Amino acid sequence: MSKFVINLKFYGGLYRYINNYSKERGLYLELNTRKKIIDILIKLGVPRNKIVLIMAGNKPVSIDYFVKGNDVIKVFPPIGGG
Amino acid sequence: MVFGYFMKIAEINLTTEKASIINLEEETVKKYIGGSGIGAKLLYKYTDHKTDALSPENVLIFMAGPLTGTKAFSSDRFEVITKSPLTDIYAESDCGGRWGEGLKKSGLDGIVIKGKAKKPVYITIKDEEIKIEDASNLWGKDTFATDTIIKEKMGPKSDVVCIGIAGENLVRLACIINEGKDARAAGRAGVGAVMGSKNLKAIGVLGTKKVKIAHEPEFNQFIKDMTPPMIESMESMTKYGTSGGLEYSESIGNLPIKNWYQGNFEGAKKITGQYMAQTILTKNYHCGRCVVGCGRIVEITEGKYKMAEGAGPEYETIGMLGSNCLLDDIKIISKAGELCNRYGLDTISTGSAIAFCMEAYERGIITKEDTGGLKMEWGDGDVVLKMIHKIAKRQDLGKILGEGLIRASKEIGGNSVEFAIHVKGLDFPAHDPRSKSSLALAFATSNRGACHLQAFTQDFEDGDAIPDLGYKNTLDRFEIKGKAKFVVDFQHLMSMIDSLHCCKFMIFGGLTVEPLIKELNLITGWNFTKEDFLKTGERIFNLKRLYNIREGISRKDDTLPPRILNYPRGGGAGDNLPSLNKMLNEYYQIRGWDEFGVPTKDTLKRLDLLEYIRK
Repeated sequence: MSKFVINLKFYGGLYRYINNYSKERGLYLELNTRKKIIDILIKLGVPRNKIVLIMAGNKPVSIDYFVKGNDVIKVFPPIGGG
Repeated sequence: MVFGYFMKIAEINLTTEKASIINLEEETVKKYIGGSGIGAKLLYKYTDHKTDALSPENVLIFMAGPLTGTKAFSSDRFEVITKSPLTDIYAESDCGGRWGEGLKKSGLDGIVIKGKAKKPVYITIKDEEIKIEDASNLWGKDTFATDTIIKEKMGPKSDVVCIGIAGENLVRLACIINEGKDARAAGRAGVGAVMGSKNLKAIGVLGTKKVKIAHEPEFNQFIKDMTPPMIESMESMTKYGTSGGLEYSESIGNLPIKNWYQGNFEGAKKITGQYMAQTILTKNYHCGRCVVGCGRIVEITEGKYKMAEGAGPEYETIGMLGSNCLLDDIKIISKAGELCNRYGLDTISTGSAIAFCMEAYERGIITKEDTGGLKMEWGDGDVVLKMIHKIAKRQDLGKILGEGLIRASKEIGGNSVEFAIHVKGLDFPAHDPRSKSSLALAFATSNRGACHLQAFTQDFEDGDAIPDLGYKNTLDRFEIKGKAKFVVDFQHLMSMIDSLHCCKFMIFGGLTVEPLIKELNLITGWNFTKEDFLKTGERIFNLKRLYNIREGISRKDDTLPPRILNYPRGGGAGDNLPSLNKMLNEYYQIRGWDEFGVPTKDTLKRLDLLEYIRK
């Protein structure tokens, strides 16, 4: 399988877990195989309990979503509760 | 010319049935802004420590701010300020919806209600014309019906705040509702009972007035530029609402469980915003000027807990009426929330009262004879619903619970005071100080009692910080070092937001300190610096404290209940207990308060509050 690139964007304070994160561009990852998004996020160091919503493009996806080339993945932390 | 304001507050005396206009001065609005800032100043003037909160001598103040009536994000909120019948100290209660903007459209920055009508009345205000109308056909009706009837009379563009029968019955947990079945609440501190004590059922507002904006083209561009990133970064709030983070809250030991006794709750996964979205959610609700829409609209089409489409439960309702009562059925919790909205009861204090009752029942301090035959067992949703009816109608033990935890624990006796979870009489909201040290200090020092919103640190302590407030990094949530200054700085920012007036959730969407200052300056034409802005917030916070000091509040009251100080809850908070005294010493020192928590003369001079020195 050829390599492909995904773009990850983190909101709230989640970007603090990511090395070399750019708030303007997000994080670009080059992958060899399609992986579950949760495995990618855990490997990057994002705590599991701080992942409230994952979106691929405009659609919410489950933690078991297999990423594909050119995906823009948005990851949101817990906020609210007032 | 003053931009952003009409410089007018209506003073409506229900005893004399006369209305007059208080003209605001520019110096006053620059010092106290609006919302709870000006509200606190008026409350200090009109009431004192001898004022009984449910007497005609109390005042009920509704305030907007300079942002209200403009396109400023989520600025159509309003603040209710009064002396609380629940705590007998300063109270403010912030409400979403659209009524705040309606108030500005009617030509006013605020309303002060004085006295007491001879018979039930409601007030209409249309383009500054104030009428006091007979409410005999409304008294006894729930908030949804009241809203519908008044809107039929005033037109669909009117906005209505009202009380339900809980407020009419002077239940000290009563709230004020706007938006009818889409129910947004000025929930806390019994403000609905004050309204009921004045025989005031509702206030309808309508109008065509527009505030002038000093730099309108630049302001419009500011809103346009801020909108897309706000929508993008708040997507999880739009999708899942305030309870989208409920499982996280449970995992870190923040969610209240079994009257704050238990550490873990398996049922948490069945009462989240995500679960609601898959089951009973029909759409989300936007306050008028909000691009996020965190409100929930739900419908339960069949079964025992059927409810027509309307306001669904927020995080606080789910925490306090759900997990705190060991209830994990989102349908029953939604129904409980709907009942509270119809009756006009604060879901936080009502959930707190019921959990307290369940513990008293478990411990044998109260029995079925006291509860009118109800077995108040943990997790029983049906008794939760039945007890809500009893609280609203003042029946059996509901009459005592509706008096609030201080009075109820005194009446019930035994050691119930040990598990009455409040500060200064205001029940804890659904956040546990054992899980985050800033919450311990915030709850102990908030001017209305246990409150996370007056500091609003909980999502910033271990989540994102606010760099333009001086906090670039996430903190260690159990650490106490640096937390005193952290809480002080956040309290100043939140005092400003409660005065401007807009929704605190906008901070998550990028409306942090510098953008807020820019918004204020573009609307008013002022040149507030960051120092001016935060000093004004400090002044407002201290004024509220001065009100409470006159009521007799001091260090002895800046504390937490025994369970929170002494008993580790386990779960995600482990064995952590708040080191409150150490933080409080540092807090007073930073604030320029003496050992009793009284602002010193030097502090009052620095904040231009010398007129409040008591001779």
